[in-house]
Amino acid sequence: MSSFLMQLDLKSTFDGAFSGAALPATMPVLLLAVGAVLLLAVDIMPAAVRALRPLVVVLALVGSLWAQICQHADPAGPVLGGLFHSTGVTALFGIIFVLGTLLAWIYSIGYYEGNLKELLAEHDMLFLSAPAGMMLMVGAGDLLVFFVGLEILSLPLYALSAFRRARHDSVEAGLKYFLLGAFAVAFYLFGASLLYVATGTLSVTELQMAATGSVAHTPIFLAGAGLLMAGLFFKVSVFPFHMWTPDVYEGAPTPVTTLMATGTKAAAFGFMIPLAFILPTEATGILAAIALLTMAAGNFAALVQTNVKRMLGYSGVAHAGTILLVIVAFLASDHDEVVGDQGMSAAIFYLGAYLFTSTGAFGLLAMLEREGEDKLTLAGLRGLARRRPAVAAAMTIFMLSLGGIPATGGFFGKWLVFTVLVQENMIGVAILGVLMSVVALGYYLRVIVAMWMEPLDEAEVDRVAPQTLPAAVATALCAFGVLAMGLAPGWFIALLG
Amino acid sequence: MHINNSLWLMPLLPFLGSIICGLLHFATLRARKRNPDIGAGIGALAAPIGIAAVVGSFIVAVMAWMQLRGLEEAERAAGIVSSAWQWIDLGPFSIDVSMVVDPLSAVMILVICGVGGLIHIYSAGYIKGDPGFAKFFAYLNLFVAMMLMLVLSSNLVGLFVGWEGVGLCSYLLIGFWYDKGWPAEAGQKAFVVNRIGDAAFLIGAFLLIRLFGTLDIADIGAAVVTIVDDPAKLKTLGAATLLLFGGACGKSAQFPLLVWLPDAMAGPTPVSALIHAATMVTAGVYMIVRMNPAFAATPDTLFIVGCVGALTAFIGATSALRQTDIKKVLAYSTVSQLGYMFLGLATGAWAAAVFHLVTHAFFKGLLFLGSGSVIHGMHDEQDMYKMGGLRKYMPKTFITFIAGSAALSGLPLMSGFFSKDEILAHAFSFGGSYMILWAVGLISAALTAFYTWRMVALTFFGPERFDHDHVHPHESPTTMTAPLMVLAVLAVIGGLLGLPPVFHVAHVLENWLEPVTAVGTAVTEHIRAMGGHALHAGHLSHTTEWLLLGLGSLVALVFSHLGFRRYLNGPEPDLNDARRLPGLTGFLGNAWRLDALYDAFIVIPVRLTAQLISSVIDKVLIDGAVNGAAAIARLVGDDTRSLNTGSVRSYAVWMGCGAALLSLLLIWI
Amino acid sequence: MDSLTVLTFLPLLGALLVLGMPKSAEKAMRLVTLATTLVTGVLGIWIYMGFDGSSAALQGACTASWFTLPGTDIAVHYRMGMDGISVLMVALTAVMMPVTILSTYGHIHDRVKEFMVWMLVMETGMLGVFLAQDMILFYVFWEVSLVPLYFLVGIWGGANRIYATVKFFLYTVAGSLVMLVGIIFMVYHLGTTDIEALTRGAGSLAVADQTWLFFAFALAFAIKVPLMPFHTWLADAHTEAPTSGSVLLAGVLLKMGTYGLLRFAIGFFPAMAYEYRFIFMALGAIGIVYGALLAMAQTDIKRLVACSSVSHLGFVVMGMFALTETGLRGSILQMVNHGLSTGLLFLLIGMIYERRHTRAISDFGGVALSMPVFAFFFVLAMLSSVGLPGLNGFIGEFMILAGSFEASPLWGTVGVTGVIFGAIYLLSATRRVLFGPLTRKENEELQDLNFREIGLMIPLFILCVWIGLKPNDFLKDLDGSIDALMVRVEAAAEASEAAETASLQLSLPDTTDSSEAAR
Repeated sequence: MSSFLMQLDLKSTFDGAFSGAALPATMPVLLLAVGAVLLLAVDIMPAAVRALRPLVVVLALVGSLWAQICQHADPAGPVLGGLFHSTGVTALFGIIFVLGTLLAWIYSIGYYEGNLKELLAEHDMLFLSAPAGMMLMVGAGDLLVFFVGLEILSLPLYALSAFRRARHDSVEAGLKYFLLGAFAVAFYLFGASLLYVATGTLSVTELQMAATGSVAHTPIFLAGAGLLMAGLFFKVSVFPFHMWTPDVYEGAPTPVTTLMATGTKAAAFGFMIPLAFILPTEATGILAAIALLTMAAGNFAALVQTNVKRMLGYSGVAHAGTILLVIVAFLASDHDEVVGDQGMSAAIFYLGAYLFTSTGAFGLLAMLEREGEDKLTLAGLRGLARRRPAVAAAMTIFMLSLGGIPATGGFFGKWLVFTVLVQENMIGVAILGVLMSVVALGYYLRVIVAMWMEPLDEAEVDRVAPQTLPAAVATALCAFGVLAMGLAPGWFIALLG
Repeated sequence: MHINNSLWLMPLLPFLGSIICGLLHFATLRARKRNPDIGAGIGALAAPIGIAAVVGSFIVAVMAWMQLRGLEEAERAAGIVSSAWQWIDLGPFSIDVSMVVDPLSAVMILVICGVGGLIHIYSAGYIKGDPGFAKFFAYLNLFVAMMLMLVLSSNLVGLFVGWEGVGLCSYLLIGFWYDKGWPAEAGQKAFVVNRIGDAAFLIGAFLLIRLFGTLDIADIGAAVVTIVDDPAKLKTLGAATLLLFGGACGKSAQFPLLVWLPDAMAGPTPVSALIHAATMVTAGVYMIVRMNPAFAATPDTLFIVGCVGALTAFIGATSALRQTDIKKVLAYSTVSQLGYMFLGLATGAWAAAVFHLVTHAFFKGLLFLGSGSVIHGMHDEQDMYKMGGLRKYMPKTFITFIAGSAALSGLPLMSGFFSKDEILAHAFSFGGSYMILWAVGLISAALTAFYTWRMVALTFFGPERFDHDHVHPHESPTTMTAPLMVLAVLAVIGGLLGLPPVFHVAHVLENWLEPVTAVGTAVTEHIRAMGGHALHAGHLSHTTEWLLLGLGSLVALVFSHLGFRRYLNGPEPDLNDARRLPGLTGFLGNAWRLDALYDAFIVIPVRLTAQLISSVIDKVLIDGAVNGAAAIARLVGDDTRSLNTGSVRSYAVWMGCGAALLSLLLIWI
Repeated sequence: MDSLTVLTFLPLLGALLVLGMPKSAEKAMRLVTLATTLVTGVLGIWIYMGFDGSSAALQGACTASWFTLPGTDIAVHYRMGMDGISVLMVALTAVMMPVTILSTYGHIHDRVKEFMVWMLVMETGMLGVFLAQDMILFYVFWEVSLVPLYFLVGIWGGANRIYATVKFFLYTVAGSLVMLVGIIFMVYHLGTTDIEALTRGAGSLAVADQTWLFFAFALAFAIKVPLMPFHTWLADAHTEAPTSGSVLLAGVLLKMGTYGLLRFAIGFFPAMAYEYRFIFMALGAIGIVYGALLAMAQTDIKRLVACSSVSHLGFVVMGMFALTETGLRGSILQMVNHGLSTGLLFLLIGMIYERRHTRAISDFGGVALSMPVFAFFFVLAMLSSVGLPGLNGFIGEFMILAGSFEASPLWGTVGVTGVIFGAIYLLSATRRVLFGPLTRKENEELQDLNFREIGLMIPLFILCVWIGLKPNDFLKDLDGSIDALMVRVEAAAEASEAAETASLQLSLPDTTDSSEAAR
């Protein structure tokens, strides 16, 4: 342990903290943190001030967003002695996180009933901490910093999952997530320590250098790599570490699910893809197998779901499998940097599209739940188009995008991911992969069928839905994002640099 | 005067006529909606219009013919050509819409427009009062137009247009009284059976494209000589001609495709006269004469043509013996007479075949119209057993019918006598295996005479077997009898067109067609010159010819007499035969049970295959695979889902094993 | 704004317009839709008139940069243009659309707004497919055009509509996705998304790659055509679809498959197409007979016509893969013909269905007595479908058969039998529906066609006769494009023959090596 502290070299770190670049680099995180603290402060103020809560949330998020945009414009690079990186890529991830949080938060407005309303400040505080953790994760230049970020992300999510504490399924979700999460983190830490034993470092860059050497083939290093990855796989819910996903997604309050589905996945991938070099080239086959199994596990299970939220949970698993393919390609290319970067930008595009799509989809579910459609099933969606054409239309767009139908962002995401794979001549894997999305369309179409093609239950005919402006705006934003990325992907690709 | 472009009037006039008549028909229908008992109404105009159209084309045809006579031999061979526009550009070569009047088509157009015109006039009387009066003329005109297209086209595809066009009209006209049901089925049968022939025809055409890279008839005729010394190509040509003949089998109701013609009698009688006796069914003969160079180069095909012809002649004649429906008798007789024509073609006696085609158009048209007149007078009674002694009720019909029968049965000096005997003489002159064909032909001739006069006796002589209270036989109106007279005259004197050499007068038709047949003869000569397998020419001494003529007349006279005598007192002899040997009677009555054969070996099997494909192969195998994939996906889904027990413990186990396995694998590789 | 872009997106504009209209204004929505399709139709015909068939070059081409694929300098363009093959399809679409819209007055009374929107979106999709000259743009249009039909069948279809429409969508998408992998492969190995450039470059790929690419493309389009044995979705989709859906499906959408086969499977890989042509000719020929027999066994008149489509498209595929000039020209013309005649049959069946609400052949009989005008048009349409000389069907079938026979007498002959079977099932269906005695009360009161119904079919019938009498007016548009294609096909043919002979002379055991060398 002591050697490890030495390794950390506190002095240079603190010097770095006050050097010029560190502040703007960490600004997005700090703003969120400040916002979170403020929220707690505001909550003990008189009602008039308490009313400012939403303002604080929005300001914190927008501010952080602005800071990230600045970072994207001119990244600070490695700061704090390489413990934290702020590059164009991390900034882009940051933007995704903030946007995701913002949208998810908007959907949470008016979602909670009863005495939960009292706890909204805590809720929002947790909500704000999550993206901070994500940013630390993607920006981490060190396995431990990532761990810290991971915990900053996870603890709020554990709490949020169980937020509807009166509800059995919500609490169960929180507990499951917490227990398994802890279990996974154990893998991660054990893996990290093994790697440290093998290489004597925890810094990503140094690990990368070490990985090129012979040490990379020592059992201890490989074991470490395996366990580390296992921990990460849990976060992105890859087979066989995905089982918690449907249960937790279903039990957690839907806005929280939204945040998990988009943010957590993105954050974990954002760290995992650059770290892929710790896996040997020989692992290509294993990874390919894992990716395909993940897609299969997600899609086939989703095919037989009737609970829409659960179905989308499984679909999330399948998408994780798809993104994993870029790592497969990277390994196949024998750790070729170029392929790595291509894979990274493909994954970012995919995650960006997925952000809008899945936020929109889950958000709409949240919206519908508030109309009494708790535990929304396919049957519950019957004839939705008659009752709420706009909602049905938006949901249709999201489903088609999840299915990767052109003119939506989902298509180009798929295009880019499979591109990386095909360039490495892994045609077989690619074809199996695309055929998986045929299975996927099988259940996305069922949603559309229910909404448009099945008759409206007589009882439903004259049920009027409480129109909520924020949710509508968020949905419109998501739909716009999906179509924009599908019809004019150029602007997003430009951001990738 | 210059006639080339006015040739187009020939098909166009009847075509326009048919359009106008069609509109009239719909106008009548609208009128009838308002006033049901309006009858023909404005549709009555259809008759004059339709007749005028055909007469118009007849005039043009005559003018064309005159024009043609004015030309030199050589020019006449080329004929009067008129091209409208380039029709199909297939790429390597293209097909024009163009027509040619040469001696052969000249004969055909005269027959078509002439006989056709007469039948139009006759129809005006026959079809009077039918709700579909105007429609009938529309179809009839359309048919004439298509038939003219068929004979005038200068290339095989154009010919095929007419070929299928007349098929369509036959389909429509057979099914003219479709509301009765079975006529519609008969029409469909006719169309489908013809299509079988047409398929063969198409393949033949494709083979010709392979060989000559064109479908222009004249070009092919000219090109044949160039390939005869290449055995491989000659083989292909043989296949091509055989397939073309297959097409002819369909159109001209030759064995084995003859089954549709008897059923076609479901149509109104004028239709049977025009389409199923005088013109359409002879299209096959015409086509082969048109392609005579190609056929001349392939004697083996021709021999097959001969066998089929003779066989058909025999089947037709025997089947006609046992028909009770007067029209059925004539139908089978037509089949058998067409057989003669093909027998003639088989011996390269193109002119003789055309000669019989023409005379047959006269006398068979006459007989059909006559039978129509009888049916008309008998209030739509067609069963000869329920007739008898009609001669005093309908004298005009009777006289003319006798003339027709005389010609058909080949009584001496009648038109049929000369044309049939010329064909038989050619077959005889070939000797060898052709002798059998000749013998079959002669026997059929005897049978022909027999069933013809059986028909006459049953219809016009003997006791009156119809029920006088309900049926009052009467002579038909002049519109119907006038055409009968004209045709009767033609049927009697038609022989003048081709008197045998022994009479030491020119064979009018043969000389007239010489320019057309010359090409084929040239090919034969060429092959013979290079010692190839050519059509052997037969020559007969005058004495033999005399003997044959004598034999022919003798047979005709004797069997006519037998047939007439036997049935003079009604159909009892038939009934006795039926009692004594029912099998044979049924066999002949049902035309050798060909239909049953087809049902058993083609129709039913095809239906079963269709059922098999749709209900087993398609539903179970192919679609089963598709749906099976979906089902499997669901099953897999159920299994995968069942992994999610919901219990944290099991999840943890999965994760633990997963992590361990992953690390181990990484170390392993 | 160039004409092709306007043409393609005009319907979309109309769709937005309809979208903005109040639900109550059904009449207005129908009118707007009809007007939009009419204007598009006129524009399309105008463009068609201006087309110069003698040149092989793309015409009316327009290019605008779209985006650049990340990590590469491959610029993706919005690129539209047309050659002789596309222009015919565009004209067909332009003509079919207004007719279809006019027919909807009869059978679409529910959710009119959505219907009209989807129709217009579909038109944009179809036109885009035929005009796109950039691979990614094409793929976008290709799949976008699936979605509207998915809704048309799914919402306005018959009892079993959902099964039918999901089957249609998944089946087609499965094929397209395999093709997608192929597209990605080509785009990144040839470094362009421009279809012309890809066409030029495809030959430079390794033979092994060309082979799997060829089959990937062929599979996607064969499913769409559909080529037997991938046809089962068609019968269901047709049977369940509303009349207008069936008309467009038969009239235009299936042509996207044959168009794709020609433009991509053959256009990209003539060598492969030549090498494996007999497989496809066989499938085509078998499809002809199979479809016909299938049709023979049907009791539902609409399903019967659907099966007949399988047979007719068998002709198209066979003629196409004969890879002879005649066959290619014929098969392209036959695409148009099938659109017209089958479209007409579906329209007519729809009209009688609106009156009788049954499609079981046994429920009819003697209809000609109560509906003479209907009978007249039905027989006419049937004859054009049977391929009666003088009407459009014959020209196409004749050219296809002639071309196929040139390439392979065996399959050509098998195809010819289709001429017989076609007559059998169509005539007997006609007989059982129209002829015979009026046995049922309901059939006696049937109202004959009204002027709208007659009027909307007239243009199609005019085209049927026109193509039948003067096919060259339409074939001439193909001269340039087909010549260009034939040059490449013949080159491929010679190459492979050369390889054959070479391998024989050198008595190499493995001919593929040498054929690679030759290429």
